[in-house]
Amino acid sequence: MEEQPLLSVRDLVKHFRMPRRNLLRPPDVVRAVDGVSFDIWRGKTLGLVGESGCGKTTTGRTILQLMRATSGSVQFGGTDLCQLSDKELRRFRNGMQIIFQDPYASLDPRMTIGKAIAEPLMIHSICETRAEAMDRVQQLMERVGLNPYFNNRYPHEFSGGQRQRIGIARALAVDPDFVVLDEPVSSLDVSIQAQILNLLQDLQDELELTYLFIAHDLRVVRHISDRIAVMYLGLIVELAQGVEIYDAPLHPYTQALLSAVPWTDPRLARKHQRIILEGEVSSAVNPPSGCRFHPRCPIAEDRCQVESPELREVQPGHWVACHLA
Amino acid sequence: MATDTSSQPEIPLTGGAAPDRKPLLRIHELHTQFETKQGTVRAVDGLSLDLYEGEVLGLVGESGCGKTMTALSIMGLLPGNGQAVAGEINFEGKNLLQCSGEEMKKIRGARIAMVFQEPMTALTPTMTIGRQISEAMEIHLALGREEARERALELLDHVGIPSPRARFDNYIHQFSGGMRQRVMIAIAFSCQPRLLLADEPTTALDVTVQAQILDLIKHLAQEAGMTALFITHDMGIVAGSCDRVAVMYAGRMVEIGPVDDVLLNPRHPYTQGLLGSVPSLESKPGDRLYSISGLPPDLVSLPTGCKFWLRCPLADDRCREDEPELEQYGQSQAACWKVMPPRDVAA
Repeated sequence: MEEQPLLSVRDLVKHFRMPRRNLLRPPDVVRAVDGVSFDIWRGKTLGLVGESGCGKTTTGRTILQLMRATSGSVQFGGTDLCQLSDKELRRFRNGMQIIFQDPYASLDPRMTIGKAIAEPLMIHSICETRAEAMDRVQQLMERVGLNPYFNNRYPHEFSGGQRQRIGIARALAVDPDFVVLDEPVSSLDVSIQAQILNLLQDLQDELELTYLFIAHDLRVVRHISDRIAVMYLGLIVELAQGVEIYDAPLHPYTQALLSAVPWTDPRLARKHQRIILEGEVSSAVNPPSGCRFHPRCPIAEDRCQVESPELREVQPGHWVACHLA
Repeated sequence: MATDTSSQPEIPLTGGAAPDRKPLLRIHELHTQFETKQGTVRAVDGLSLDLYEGEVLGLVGESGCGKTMTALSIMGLLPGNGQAVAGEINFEGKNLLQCSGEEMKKIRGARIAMVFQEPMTALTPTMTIGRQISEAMEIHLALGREEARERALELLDHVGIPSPRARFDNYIHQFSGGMRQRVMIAIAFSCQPRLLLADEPTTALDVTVQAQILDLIKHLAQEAGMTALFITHDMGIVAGSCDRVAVMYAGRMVEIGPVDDVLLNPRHPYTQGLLGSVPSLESKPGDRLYSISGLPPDLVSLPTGCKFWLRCPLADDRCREDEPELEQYGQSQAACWKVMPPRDVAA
């Protein structure tokens, strides 16, 4: 870990202002991401987990500057992306790519997939001629397990898994260093999910890719990540080596989340005491005072209602934001 | 060539259920088909399955394997172009496939209830949730309006909706995903049906809410001595919630047995593949997942022989030509010519 991280996120904040509902009151602000910091080293994967609305997707998009941060910094290879103008950012765009959950929604239905994969090659002037671009498209299609013969077909002619392969080919076309994977396998059937996860791992090894893997399935995240960050209501509550977080979770939220994972071993399912959390995630408009998890926390004390816990390193490489951990 | 059902050997399809239990629902050689422009889609293709009183059976398989169509055939709720063309579904002395629309109306909701994946589309957006729960009871249990209202309030409280009196007159869009599913469960349990069909009831929910809802369904079903069919694509849900599991592929059953036996000791290569595709707690990060190559077959033109041979690592000539029937192995049954010695899929 002596080496510089490829990506350093510091105190990243992204607030959304809601439409004003009452002229006399200030508009509501959704605190989607509210001060998130982490590092990702080259060739490694950070898994970002949490439930719907915890801010994981917003974190991914803000890092890529697809949305501009409210405050904070994103150092990518030594440059703070948050300080760059849109024009300056273009130079960095091909270094960072994103793969979405629903590849169908992110592909133009009227563009053949060959053209869709070639598009970034032309835009970033990676290929000079069409012929050169088509050669590269063929290589890419083969690499992600698609038959290059199908380059004249349209997205609707492919299955979900194949479309996700198209999405991957498209992201890889520009030779990125860093890829945000936003729930890349959640809409796929399990057998197809395993094919795509294996492909992503092979590509990472081969091309030394760095991944931010956003997902809610903790089985998948454990499988693919080197380190894992758990988010709750816009904040990271725990961050550690993947295996460590599963073996000895310290934050009560992580403990509850992990106890709910439906492992396929029936012996484990019976042995595991599920921690059933009361209630639901609080609103990101008016997050609870003190620790944001306190209204649902089974061990909360008076202090948790007033004092917001800092993310601190309790063991080497294991960070947790809880007064009681 | 269609399978000749009469020549099949009579196998006791207990699939690992305790012998002293009585079947509540018996599906025999069900064929459900859809007419489309591309041809006849054989969604369910000769499924036989018994559900025993008081058990929770998991029906698993991937999209398009026919698990939802099996449930909709039971309910008599197939979409317009679909029809159960052959077979029997016996429940409480009636063949549901022979029942008239009027008869089915009396069974649906009262004797057999269903919980759907997406409550937003299954519930009426323009009727208060209180009304939707009490309506079912007024129709099926002939309760008066006041009585039904009181029962509905009790039910809302029972499924864990905070302050039921205040929520009674709310509409479904005013609830979160988990709360919507609780409302649908309240409706499903309102008339104390004998059989509950739950079609991916937690797929749209977050993990912690998923655990809450699964526990709730299990608890309520146990309390009422209800029999349940859990349709899911997730072997993890089967592991935590079911007594027996049936695995479907291309409209047929390929394996059935007690959960422990099937999940720890899967016989069919497809079951093994499904289990190996899900990362387990024993797998080391970075390990390759066992993956099934290729895609499920086109249900309009199914291959000859075993429907899985195109994707099966063990297939030989026999698999390509002859279709295997379910055979007994230990406590379970599997339909495969190549049943292998137990393999530790978790490794």
